[in-house]
Amino acid sequence: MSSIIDVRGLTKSFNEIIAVDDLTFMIKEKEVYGFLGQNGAGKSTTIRMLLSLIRPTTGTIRIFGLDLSSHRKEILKRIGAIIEKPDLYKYLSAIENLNLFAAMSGLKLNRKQLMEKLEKVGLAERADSKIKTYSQGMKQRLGIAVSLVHDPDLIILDEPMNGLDPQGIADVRNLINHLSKDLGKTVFISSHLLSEMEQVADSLLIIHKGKKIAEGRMQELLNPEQTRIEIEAKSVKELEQQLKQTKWGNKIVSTNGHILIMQLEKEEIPLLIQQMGELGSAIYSIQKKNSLEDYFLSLTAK
Amino acid sequence: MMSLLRIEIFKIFRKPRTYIAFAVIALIIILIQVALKFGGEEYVGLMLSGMGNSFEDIPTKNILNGYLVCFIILNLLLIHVPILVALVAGDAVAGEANMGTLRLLASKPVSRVQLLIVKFTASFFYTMLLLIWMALLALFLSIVLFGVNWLGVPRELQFNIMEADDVMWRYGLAFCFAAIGLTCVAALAFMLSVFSDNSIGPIVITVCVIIVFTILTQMQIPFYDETIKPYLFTTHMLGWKGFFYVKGVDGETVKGSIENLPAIIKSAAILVGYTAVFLGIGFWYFNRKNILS
Repeated sequence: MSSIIDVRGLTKSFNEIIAVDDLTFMIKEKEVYGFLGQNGAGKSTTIRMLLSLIRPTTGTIRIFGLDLSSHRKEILKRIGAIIEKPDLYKYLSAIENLNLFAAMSGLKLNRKQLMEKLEKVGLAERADSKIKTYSQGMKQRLGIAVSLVHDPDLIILDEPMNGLDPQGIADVRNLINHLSKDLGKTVFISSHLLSEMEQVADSLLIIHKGKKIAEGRMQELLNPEQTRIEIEAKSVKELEQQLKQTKWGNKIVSTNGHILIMQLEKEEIPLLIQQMGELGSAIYSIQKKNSLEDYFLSLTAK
Repeated sequence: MMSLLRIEIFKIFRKPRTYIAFAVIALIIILIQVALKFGGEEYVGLMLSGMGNSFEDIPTKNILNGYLVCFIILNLLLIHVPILVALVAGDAVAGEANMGTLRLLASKPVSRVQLLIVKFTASFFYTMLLLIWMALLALFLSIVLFGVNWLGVPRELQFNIMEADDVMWRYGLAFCFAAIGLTCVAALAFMLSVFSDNSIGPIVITVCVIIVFTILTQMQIPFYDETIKPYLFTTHMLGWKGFFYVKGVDGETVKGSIENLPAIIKSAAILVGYTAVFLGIGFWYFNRKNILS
C-alpha cells in the first residue's frame, strides 16, 4: 500500500514555545490511523498543519504524493475534516450548512441528495431546523456529514466522539469502520477516548509535549506477549516480600495500596497463580491490564 | 468564484443583524422627513437667517422641496452610515473566526486570496445595497413627499442655487462618490477583521476611528487644516458635497457647472488609495495568518 500522508521533520514553534517538535510519520492507504496525546501535546497543531491552516516552521508534508505547500488546492479537494469541534453556521439549517460546504468543494447537490447525506447521520428529520437548536451530539453528526459531503479519500477527524452519547459513539465507530473497510478510505483520527481508539485504529502515533514517543501497529504497540497484571491482595507488602524471594521478584513493577503491579509474559501467568497459592497469600483478584490506556499512561507519565 | 460569492451574500442576508442597518436608515430618514414636513418652515427660516433678506420674498415651500430634504438627509447621514457598514465588513472574517467556521472555510479547496476576494465583494455588495436603500428613501421618497423645485444649498456666506433640471445628475454623482467613501470604510473594517478573532473588536475600532477622524475633520483649528485634515479619509468623504457647489458669473449660477471638479477627483483618488492600502494589508496578513481560532 502506498503512503497517503508522509510527514518529515515537522516542527512548529510559536515564538519560544515549540508546539510540535520534529515529527515524522507516514500513513498508508485505507488505514485507520490513531493520533494520541494529552491536551496540549500538539495534536491539533499537527492537524492544522496537515490542513494548511498553520504554516510549519520547518519540515515537509506530502499528501497523496504531493507537496502540501505547492499543491494545496488539489490536496484539500480530496480531504474531509472535522477540526476540534464541528462549528457550523448557527443561523442556518442543517441542509443549508451541508449545501454551503458542498458548494465550497465545487459540488452542486439537490435537496434529495443532501437529504440522503443527512439520513446517513440520522439528521434527516431535523434537516430544516437551525443549528442553534441542535444538541452537541447532533452538531457532531452534522460535522461528520459536512466532512464527508464531497466523498473525500482522506478523512481527518479531530475528536469526533466529543459530546456524543454511547449510541452516538458506537455509530461513529461503525461509520469509521465502514469508511475504511468497505469504502477504502484513509482515516486519520485523534481522540482522547482511548478505549474507542483501541477499537477503531489499525496504527497509532502517540505524541507528548510535541514529540513522537511511540508509533506502530496497534497490536505491536500493545504487545500481547508482555502482559501487565494487577494483583489485589490482603497484604500487598507481605506478598511483595514473598515474591521477591522467588524468581518473580524482578517482574514486580510497583505497588499501590492494595494493588501489586507486575509485568510478565502471557504463558507465565498460570505459573505465578500456582506459586502464589503455594505461598499462602490471601489474593482477592488478578486483573490483566493490557489496554491502550495503560500503555498510553505508562508512556506519558514518564 | 461566482458560486463562492453567492454563498457569502447568502450568509450575510441570513443574519438578522444585516437588516438592522436597513431598519436604522429607514427610521432616521423617515423621522427627518416627518420633522421637515411638520416643522420645515422654521428649519428653513433658521437656515436662511444668516443670508440677510435676499430670500424673504421666496415662499418656503419653494425652498423646502424633495431635493433640499435629500441634501439635508445626506448631510446628516453620510457621516454615520459608515458605522452601519462596519457592522458587516468588520464581521466578515472575524465573525467566522469567532464562530469557529473560519478553520472549516480555510481548509476547503479555495485559496485564501479567493476567500478574501469573495468576502470583501460580498461586503461591498451589502454596502452598495445600503446606499441604494438610502438613495431610494432620501431622494425618491422625499420627492414624493415634498415635490421638486430648484435646489438651494447653503454655504458659508453664500447660497448656491441650482435649477430643478440641473439637480438629478448631481445626486447621481454624489451617490457614486459616497459609494467610494463607504467602500473605503468597508475596507478599513475588513482589514481590522482579518487581524481579529472576534468581530466586536474590528467594529468598535472602525467606529472609534470614524468618530475621532470626523471630530478632527470638523474642528475649525487652522493648525489641523494643513497638518492632519488633508490625510484623514473622513475629510475626503465629504467630497460629495462638491457636486452641489456651482460656479457663478455675475451672481448667476452657471448651469451644469461644478466649482472645483479637480478637488473632487483628488478626494476620490485618495479614498481609492486608502481602500487599496487597507485591502493590501488585509490580504498580505491573511495569507500568512496561522488560523488558530
